[in-house]
Amino acid sequence: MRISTNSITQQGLEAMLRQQNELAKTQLQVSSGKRIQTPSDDPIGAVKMLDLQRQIGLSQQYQDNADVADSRLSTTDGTLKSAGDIMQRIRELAVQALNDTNSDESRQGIAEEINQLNETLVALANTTDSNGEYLFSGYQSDVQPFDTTTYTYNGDGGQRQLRVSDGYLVAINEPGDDLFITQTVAGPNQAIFQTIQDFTTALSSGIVGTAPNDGDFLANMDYAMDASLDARTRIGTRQNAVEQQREINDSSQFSMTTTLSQIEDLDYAEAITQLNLQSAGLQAAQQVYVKVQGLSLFNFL
Amino acid sequence: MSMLNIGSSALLAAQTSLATTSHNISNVNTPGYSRQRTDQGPQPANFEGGYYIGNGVGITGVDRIFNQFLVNQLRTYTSAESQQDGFLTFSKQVDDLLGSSSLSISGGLEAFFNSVQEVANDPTSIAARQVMLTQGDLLANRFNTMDSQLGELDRQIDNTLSASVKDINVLSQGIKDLNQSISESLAAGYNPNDLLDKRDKLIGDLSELVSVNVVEQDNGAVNVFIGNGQGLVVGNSRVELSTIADNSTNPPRTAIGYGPSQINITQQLSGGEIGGAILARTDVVDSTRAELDVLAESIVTAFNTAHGNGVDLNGNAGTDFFDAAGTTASTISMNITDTRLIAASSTTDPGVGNNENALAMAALQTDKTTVVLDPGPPVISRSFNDQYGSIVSQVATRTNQASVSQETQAGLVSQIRQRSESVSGVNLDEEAANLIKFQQAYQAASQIITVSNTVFNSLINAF
Repeated sequence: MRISTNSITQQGLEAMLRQQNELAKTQLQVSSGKRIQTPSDDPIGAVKMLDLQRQIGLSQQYQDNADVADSRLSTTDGTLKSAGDIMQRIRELAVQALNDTNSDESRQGIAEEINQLNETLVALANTTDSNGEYLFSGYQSDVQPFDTTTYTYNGDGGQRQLRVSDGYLVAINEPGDDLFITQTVAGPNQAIFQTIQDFTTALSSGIVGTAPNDGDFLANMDYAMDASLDARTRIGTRQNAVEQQREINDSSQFSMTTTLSQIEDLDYAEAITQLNLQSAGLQAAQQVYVKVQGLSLFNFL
Repeated sequence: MSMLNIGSSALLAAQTSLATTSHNISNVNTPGYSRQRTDQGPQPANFEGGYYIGNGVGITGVDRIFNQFLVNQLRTYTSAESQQDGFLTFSKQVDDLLGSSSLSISGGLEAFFNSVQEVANDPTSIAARQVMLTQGDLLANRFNTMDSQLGELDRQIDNTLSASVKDINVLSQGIKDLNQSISESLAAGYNPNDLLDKRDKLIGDLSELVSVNVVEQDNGAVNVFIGNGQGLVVGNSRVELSTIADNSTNPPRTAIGYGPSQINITQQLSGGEIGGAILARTDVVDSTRAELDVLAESIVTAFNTAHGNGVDLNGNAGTDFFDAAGTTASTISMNITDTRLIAASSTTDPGVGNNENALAMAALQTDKTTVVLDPGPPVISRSFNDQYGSIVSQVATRTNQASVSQETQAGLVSQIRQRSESVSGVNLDEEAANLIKFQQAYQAASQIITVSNTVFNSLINAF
């Protein structure tokens, strides 16, 4: 076939341009470390990437939520533990006070100590977290749950839940009425603070051994301690569940990140080989161009 | 016929061939040039006493060597290739835009819904609420920016169309003028080779702008048609194209008017840069904007509904979170600016610590019923992210497809161009060989004259 001089030039030029183009593309991939520069490089991969990025982002948010849940649960648990310790001490003091061998004076002293402890207990029930939110007032977290004199509960039964995975909402608080307004031997539920105060009032007045300020008081204290122990069990279970969920999130995040990297990231070994091949190709094209351009019959005229 | 005359006819023929060769060499780099060849044949012989005696050589013409079929094919492929190229110019930009991490709606949605979860984690925190308002605003901004970038592309398409129309008018004027010169030349009996090349070149340039249909007339003029049969150049007359405002859209955009009455023929045009721009407008820019509007509207509707189900920090029912009047990508904006107005609480046991509604709002992120594509029944719907993913994949697939097809067409163009070049293109080595050949012929012809002179002299000297 006849070849025109222009075709020869054009072919050489096109070969160089094509090589340059491919080289530039590989160069961009190597410098960014990404296989996909724009969605059209791999439409299916790009959409998968979007989906994975969203899921990873969401999973990261679930981890953040789990951190918040964990911290709230720990605070609540710690507070309830202290409350339990105090109630235990009050119960011990009450056992001591109910002992017949005690004098009125020593009962007076015990009553004072119990009163002090009761105040601490109320303060614990009115604990706030680092944000200034009351731990035990349900959804009314800006309202002090227990009145310090009348002991009436001003919160509600709301339980805040946080999402720590697509399918798992974890409750992070315990409403105060479940914890501190507890069953009594006499029947109706009553704030434990009131029960304790009634007991110390009786002690101070020297009236010991009349219901409910006799053995019933100890039973009432047991009910209250059971309530907070139950709550701590529930909290512990939730903490475990959150921890497990965190591990699940971690591993799913890891596998999604790996998949994302497989779709998105460049195989450097392959890319560098490609880069070498392409630059060799370009050099060859340049040399061929110069060689062929030098061939002309006019050189011999 | 004398030897001297035969010699001079040979000299003349060699001279003409040398001139044609020189013409070929000098036009080696002229775009659209077809090589030429001097055709020569023996002069009519004299019949003298039973013999034909040769009369030397004569020039029968200077031919232009070309293949009309290849020229036509090249034109068709050029139109197709430049259509894909024009399309890619725009669709690649949309592709980049949608995939850009700093502009993509996907990133905006993620950041926004994360901020909603933070409010759910801590509904009393003013800081968390402020972040949610800011992220809502940023999400709306991403929509606004993306829409305005797409609007910018729309204006670029306008500019492409008006620039192309100007070019077409210049080209059609040239073709018309050449038609006239060519038909006059042919009528006078001359083959206007260079004018024919020039006209083919102009028609080739025209086919880069829009796909054309060329019909040759008996007098050598060509009629050029565009669209579905609108004559651009008919014989010695031409029809002017103009840019007109298409008021069917807001803001109005550029359309192409035909003739003095400026009939809108934009939709009839295909191929070339114009075809690519029009295709990019309908298939990429318009459809992406429409799909983004659907997404924006779904977000506003779903989020406002969810927000309205809640109670804010002041104990009032939630107002619109996004401005209910802005339901397109260009108009979506925030309605509330006060952090206390975020309705994180539900209506059952409302309270500052109640996060039930914030949870419900956060759940919209993965809700597959938020973007309703067909109200049904059965209802066809998808999530916000799926809708955005579908927009990205549509543009990416279309761009990818155009890119592959552009490469194919470019390959075809290059192949046909080579075939056409192999017929019409100048080969310098060939011309150099011809130069030697014709130079030798010229030298030989000169010898004929010298010999005839010698013969004549010896005759004279005999007396």
